[in-house]
Amino acid sequence: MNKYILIFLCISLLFSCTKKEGCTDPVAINFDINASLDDGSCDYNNFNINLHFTQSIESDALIRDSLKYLNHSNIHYSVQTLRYIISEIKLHKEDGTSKLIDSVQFINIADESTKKVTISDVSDLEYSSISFTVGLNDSYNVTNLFLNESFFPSFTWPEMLGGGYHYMQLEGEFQADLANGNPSFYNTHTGPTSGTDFSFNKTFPIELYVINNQTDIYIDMEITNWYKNPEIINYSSDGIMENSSLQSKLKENGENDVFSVYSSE
Amino acid sequence: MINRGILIIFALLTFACEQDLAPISGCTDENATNFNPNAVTDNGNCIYFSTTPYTIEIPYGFPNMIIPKNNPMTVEGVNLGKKLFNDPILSADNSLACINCHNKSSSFSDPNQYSTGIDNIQGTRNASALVNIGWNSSFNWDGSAQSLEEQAFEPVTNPIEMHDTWQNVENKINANLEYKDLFLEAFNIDYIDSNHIVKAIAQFERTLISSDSKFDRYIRGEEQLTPSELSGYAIFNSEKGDCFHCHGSQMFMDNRFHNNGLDIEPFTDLGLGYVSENSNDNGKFRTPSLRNIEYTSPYMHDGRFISLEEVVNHYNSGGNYSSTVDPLMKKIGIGLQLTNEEKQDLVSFLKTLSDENFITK
Repeated sequence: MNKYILIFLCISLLFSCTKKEGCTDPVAINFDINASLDDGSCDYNNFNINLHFTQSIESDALIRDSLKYLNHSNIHYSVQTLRYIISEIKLHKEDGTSKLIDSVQFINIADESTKKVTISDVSDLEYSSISFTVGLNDSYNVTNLFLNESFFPSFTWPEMLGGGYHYMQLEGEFQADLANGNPSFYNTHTGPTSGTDFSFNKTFPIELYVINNQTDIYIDMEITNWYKNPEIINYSSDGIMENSSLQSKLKENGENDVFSVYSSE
Repeated sequence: MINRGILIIFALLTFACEQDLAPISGCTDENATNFNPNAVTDNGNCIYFSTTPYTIEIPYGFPNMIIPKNNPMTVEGVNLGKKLFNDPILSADNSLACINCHNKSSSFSDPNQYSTGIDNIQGTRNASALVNIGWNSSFNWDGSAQSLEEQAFEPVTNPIEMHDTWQNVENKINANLEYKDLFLEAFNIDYIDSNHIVKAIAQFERTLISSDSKFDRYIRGEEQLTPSELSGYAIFNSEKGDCFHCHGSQMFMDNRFHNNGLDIEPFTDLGLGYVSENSNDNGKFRTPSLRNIEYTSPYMHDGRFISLEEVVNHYNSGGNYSSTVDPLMKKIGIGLQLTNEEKQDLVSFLKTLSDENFITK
């Protein structure tokens, strides 16, 4: 009897420090039923979504600081500063369910790192549309709510003008005759003028093409269209942060055809 | 015989996964400075180094202060930093301390246009005020330092400032028994090196927080502003004065660089362009906080304006166009066109940002 106990204990000793390593998650495609110790090798066939924020003028990529552009009334203009917030970015399925992939994205064209965001480990290909808010809606746009975000403090919208944060700062030079004098500056700053919510939502159909576990979605801003369709807005060196009528027109243009979404095949 | 075998194997089984079979004696307390991770039995000889954490109170409307992980705030470190900040031992001839160009009564800035170094040579920029700088993302007018620790390295060896060498400073401080004790208490080091000297100074500088001005008391509902101050507040925070785009929020700065139309090209001081070597940055300087602005005359990177009235007049005249002037200076050449009364109101409001306790206590 004691002999058997001895043998049993010897075998226990042999195996006391060995566990089979492998993927222990039954959901993974390489789940190993014999593995008792997870070695981090689980493969879910998941993919990354790369969201790109692009900016164009007349369908070409924006070239900063260049006065080569002409607006609807033949005024030369440049874009020097373009910083904006896209929030509540969601993917939707046909069945009505959705996934929030980015709650607040601050894009600054001077900082490449802000122009792309990667959402990793997405497992579902069934998404058929994408939606987002341009700016911050009322429930988000509260003074001091985003103290630790990179757009604080420079995107602050003063309390007495409505409070919260700018949606967009689009700034540059404009000049009727390049040979005559210095250019003037325009500041197209959008935000919650007088506390009114001028943010707006956009939804676009998408198809996800996954190649090497990556898929790319582009959210493009056609800068020119802020100023001409349907409402004509001319460049001026006057501020517009207290101008509700212009904020309303910019919202109308913005909702119309400023944004587009495409995915790469 | 077999029973003994069973006992041995039981014993082996118990230790089968332990790395060491023979127990090592040493200090087993992870919090001790001589903690031995291999020790099994405690030998009762643990040595402890303890500091008192210094807690930064974040004022209303301020973000969290980012403190480097390798330089946590301690009461011992802050006190040591304060002593170093006030001690001329950091300069070659032991005549000049940080405080001499960053006067407390001037919100830790220099009331002289340019500071004078130990060799009687003047610089070309006005010494910055040190107020709420723990929230700065870069330092110096041109952004040449990325942390307070990095910034503190520079004046000690600058030939037109303290004109010392770090080796000499280390020698002097290591020869000082009081400093030997203080660095041991704050950092647990026997040899004092430059890294720990700047760490202590940076800790002290992070405590230079101002958030109890008349304006703060107004925001907290404890005090009223006069009609003139309120009018100035409204001008400041609308596009009429358009001060807030760069000096917005409770921080009264934006952690960015701008060319505010002071000069035409070519610039005598390239500012950020000198550091970034990008001509698009020429003539751009860090936005200073406007807190305690009443105390920090003269103004601008080169201290060209003595009074706040002159500063307001600069913006009111619109400034000078140049290829790098900030588009936020949208009234360039036109000016804000404020009336004399409005300009006075704006100055009155700026003076509500004065925190008397900050410069006296």
